[in-house]
Amino acid sequence: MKVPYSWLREIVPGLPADPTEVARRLSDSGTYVEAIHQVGVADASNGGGAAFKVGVVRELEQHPDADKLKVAKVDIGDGELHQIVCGAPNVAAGETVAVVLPGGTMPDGMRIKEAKLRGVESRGMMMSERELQLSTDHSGLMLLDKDLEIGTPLNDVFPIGDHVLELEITGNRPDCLGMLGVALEAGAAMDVDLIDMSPFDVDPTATGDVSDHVTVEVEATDLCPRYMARAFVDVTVGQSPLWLKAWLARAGMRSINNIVDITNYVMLLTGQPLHAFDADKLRGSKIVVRRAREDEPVTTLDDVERTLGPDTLVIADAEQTAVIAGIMGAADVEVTATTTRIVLEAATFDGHSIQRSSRELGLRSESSSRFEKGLDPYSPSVAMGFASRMLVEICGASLVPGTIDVQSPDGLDQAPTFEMDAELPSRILGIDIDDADIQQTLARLGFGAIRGARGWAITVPHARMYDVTRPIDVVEELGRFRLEQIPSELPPIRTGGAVLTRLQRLRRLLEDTSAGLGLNEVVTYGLVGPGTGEALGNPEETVVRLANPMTVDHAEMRTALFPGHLEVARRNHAAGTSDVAIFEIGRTYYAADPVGSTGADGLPRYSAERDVLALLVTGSLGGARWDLPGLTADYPAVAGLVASLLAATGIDARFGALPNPPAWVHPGQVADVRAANGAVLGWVGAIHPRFAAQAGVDADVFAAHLDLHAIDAARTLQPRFTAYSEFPPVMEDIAIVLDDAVAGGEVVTVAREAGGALLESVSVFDRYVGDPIPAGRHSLALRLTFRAPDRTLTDEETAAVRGTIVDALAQRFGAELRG
Amino acid sequence: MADIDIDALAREARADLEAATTVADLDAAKIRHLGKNGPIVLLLRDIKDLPPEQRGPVGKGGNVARKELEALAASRHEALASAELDRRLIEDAIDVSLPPRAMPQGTLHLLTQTRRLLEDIFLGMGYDVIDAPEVENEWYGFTALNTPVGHPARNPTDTFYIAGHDQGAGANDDALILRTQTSTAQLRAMQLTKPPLYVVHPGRVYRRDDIDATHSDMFHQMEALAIDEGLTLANLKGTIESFLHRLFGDDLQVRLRTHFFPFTEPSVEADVQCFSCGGTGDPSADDRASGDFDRCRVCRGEGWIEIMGAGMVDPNVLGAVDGYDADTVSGFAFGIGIDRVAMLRHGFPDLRMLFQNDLRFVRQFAGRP
Repeated sequence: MKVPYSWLREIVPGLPADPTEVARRLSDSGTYVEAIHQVGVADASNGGGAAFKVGVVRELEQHPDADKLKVAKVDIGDGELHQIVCGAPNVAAGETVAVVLPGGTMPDGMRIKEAKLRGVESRGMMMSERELQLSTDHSGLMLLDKDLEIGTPLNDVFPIGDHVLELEITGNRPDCLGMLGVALEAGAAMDVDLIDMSPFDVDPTATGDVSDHVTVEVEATDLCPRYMARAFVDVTVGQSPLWLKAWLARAGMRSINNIVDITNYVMLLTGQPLHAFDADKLRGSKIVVRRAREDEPVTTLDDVERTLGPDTLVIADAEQTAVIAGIMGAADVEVTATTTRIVLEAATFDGHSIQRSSRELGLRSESSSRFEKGLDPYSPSVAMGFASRMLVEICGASLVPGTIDVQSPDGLDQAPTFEMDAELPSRILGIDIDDADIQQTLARLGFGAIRGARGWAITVPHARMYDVTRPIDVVEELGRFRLEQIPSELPPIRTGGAVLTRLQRLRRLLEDTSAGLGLNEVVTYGLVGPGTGEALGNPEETVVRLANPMTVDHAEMRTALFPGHLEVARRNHAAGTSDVAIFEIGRTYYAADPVGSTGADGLPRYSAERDVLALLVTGSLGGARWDLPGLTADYPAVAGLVASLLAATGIDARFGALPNPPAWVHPGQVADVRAANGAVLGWVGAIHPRFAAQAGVDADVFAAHLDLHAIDAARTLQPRFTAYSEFPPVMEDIAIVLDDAVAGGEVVTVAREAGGALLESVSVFDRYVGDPIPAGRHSLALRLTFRAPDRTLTDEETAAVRGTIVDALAQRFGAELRG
Repeated sequence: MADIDIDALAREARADLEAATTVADLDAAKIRHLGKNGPIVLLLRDIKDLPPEQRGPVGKGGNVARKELEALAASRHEALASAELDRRLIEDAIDVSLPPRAMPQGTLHLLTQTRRLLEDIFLGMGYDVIDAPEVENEWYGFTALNTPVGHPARNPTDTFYIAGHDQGAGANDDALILRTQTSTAQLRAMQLTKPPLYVVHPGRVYRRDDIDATHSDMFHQMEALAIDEGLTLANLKGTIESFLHRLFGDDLQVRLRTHFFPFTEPSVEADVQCFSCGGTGDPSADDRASGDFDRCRVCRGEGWIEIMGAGMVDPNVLGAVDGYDADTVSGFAFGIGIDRVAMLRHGFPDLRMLFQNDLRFVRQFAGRP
């Protein structure tokens, strides 16, 4: 909303000339001033406007050396004739014009000086509308009313300079899309009065009745609670007065003709859009407010042919659509230069309907942006009064007796009245406000407030009837003009302190450990391309898909993080970074089964969301020296990262072959990750080279995926102390021959179980294939470490345990002891 | 047996030991003279074979000589070993200015660092950190947040709906959405905990915005909610001030401006005085170096930074959850953009950088939120 400050000051005369403080207070109280623009002549009401005068061309001669220039002698009432060289085609002796004398500064910053134009002296300039930033018209001089007194300061004819406040109006305040609403705000913010504008209408002077000119039929009463119409005759269509043009231009609207300009002016003033029809063009002299017919065509004022449907409300005549209600008119019923008889509409339309139609048609106008916020049904009569009087005074029109006023059969919505507890303002705002101050603030805003024994009887003005409906809304009205007075006080928090949950602490631990292990954290989108979930083997019904994606690559919710991480690798490779070691703790999403089923906290869930730790590595993992290479990412390295991460959380990770590896992993380099108790925590492995290549990554890529909730569940916090032995360990190495199908990890597990209490640890230190081991078998070397808590073990004791282990391995895997 | 000249043997041995210039030579000489086949050692070993009258003098002389020689060998060893160590250290000198071995070291993403900063401020003030789902229904997303049917956000043009659950989108409490704000967590927190309630919730939100330098279809917010007996707008003001002082600096002014949100009444926006220019709007040395001579680039010359929306919890929101009564408790809530805080504090030009994860971006903020 653009507010010409001179207009605002006309309604609120007590405002200071400088808008800075007004803007600050408006911003604080909810009418945010985004910018203050200087337009037209700077400092026009003081020194800046002194050089701008009303003048009359007394004499006019052809310039001796230039065909297109004329030499004028201009009278500005100071007793001498000023010679001004002029190139405008419409300059003529006897015309009243706008003159700027040497020393004046134009709106564009140009300073007027005495000059010679093609050898002829020129002292000043006569101006076009564009040069004064009134309009874009530069076809000729701006010709002024001949009744104006010569020498009048131009600023007294219309405001030649102004400030325009650019306001951000929040969705709850359609009333502030009109000057009157803003004026109430400014008056309350500055604690000054408004001029009285209430009884603004005109008496009919024409004969007959409005029904002689138009009849109105509202079919869609649900979408049009009120429709008012008046008729005017003897209308003279022409240019608007300069003050009107100036304010319209500064409010961001183009001057069309005096009729349209008046409807726009009244809309800017009241916030209530109006529409003027040429009564002679209304077929059947009839207005029908109805839903559009299926595929009904209309050519709107912007010269676009559009097709409407029954969702759209239209104003039609007896035959076809004349206006898309509240949005834009059709070309064929508009007011033109030859119009003499008009029908003026002031109506209320359903905001949601206007909003929907406007969006569907891709058509927004000053009118629709107001209607869509939901205007009150009392504004039409106010706006009708203003417009009627202006049409009579400016266009010479005569008002036809009678006003058509079709109202919803349910009656018009009533402005709310209610009681507000006297304690409520201080209970919510934390300050005490005197009764007199409460009354003053509310009165300035147009509210009625009567103090009773226990509280206030509140009456809400029509313009605010949908925004202020409850006592708490009145509290806001009081609070918003007092924000600076409200003290800063911390609440006395009585919850006994806060601490992160165990899952939140686990997350931080894993984040820190991952970073410490050389992994860089990334944050990737939760939305992925269509079909990603199914390509990863998820049944279609488990994937959460968007009904209305915006972009093709953000169509469904991710079920895994590594596809996004491959994209990170691709992007970094493209940027010349070949070593990519990354991790992310992020969310995965599956359809809830069923929707609304209860989560662990007892509240409903609309999808199954799980946080996972994913990591992805390719290239070097670090450890490089300037002369030596570092550790290259491979399966043992990524599994080692997982083991280290889990070790940091107190989990002893186990890796086992994945029974049915999915298509997107290297079938021979993938493992499931388990805790010591067998709980599955996730997987780790090499990404299938084909899958990586499809993602644009031409390198060996390794990844892991661990479920945060599973990790948390596998941990026992606050473990009890376990005593360790003071006696030395005894180490023994054994080598066993096994079938190649036997997994080394299982051998270790079985050995560990068979070894019992005296076996401290088992580790693999060699795996050998070849002569003399037969084909299909291999030798695995294990180091067994024995230790007792209370003594040094004897050879006999360790031999016995070793024998048990060897027997168990023989029985379970057919292992043979070597040598 | 010939005359036994212990002195001669000792002299010869001493000369050998003293002639050795390396530890290895010394060790060889020591073995030669003092090893089990050394002449004096052999003499002493076979002393019983000597005539009785010689045993005393030879034994005594031999032992004295051997002790002296061993002492000599020991001191020579120490001198030679020390010299050799000194030599080796000189040889081992390296160019310590060459790059060190690149031991693995990663970093936390800027968003995680920023999130923790915010969480920790509120933990210190006594607010628990809670989690909440991102897929919600319209009741949690809109209705219970006092956002009526017809509100612009409550529409498939602005909000992502879930396929198969979008019937009646915009006017159906059961339609499913990706939440557009972390305020959904307010309701879940209220459902789980009766007053007093002091919580924050950092999380992801989604909006159907065109992606550009300052907009994304996904971003991060942190919601704060306090509900208790007797909470006022003054408490909200104090909390915002305290929070922003910890985040941006103690001396900065904070101002509240009236705004509109459906789920708070009264509603405000909070501005903090620009931490870069201190509220003057003037360009910093960095701004000037980057070619901005007119105005501070952080606040665009305005002196203030719009930082968050806030307000007193609307009675309708309290009324949406059993056990909350607007007549006995009141509360405040606010939401702040984590991505925006990160952008403001670190001055990177494009929101998308956060999600592109160029490692040159990720690594440059290591350990310094």
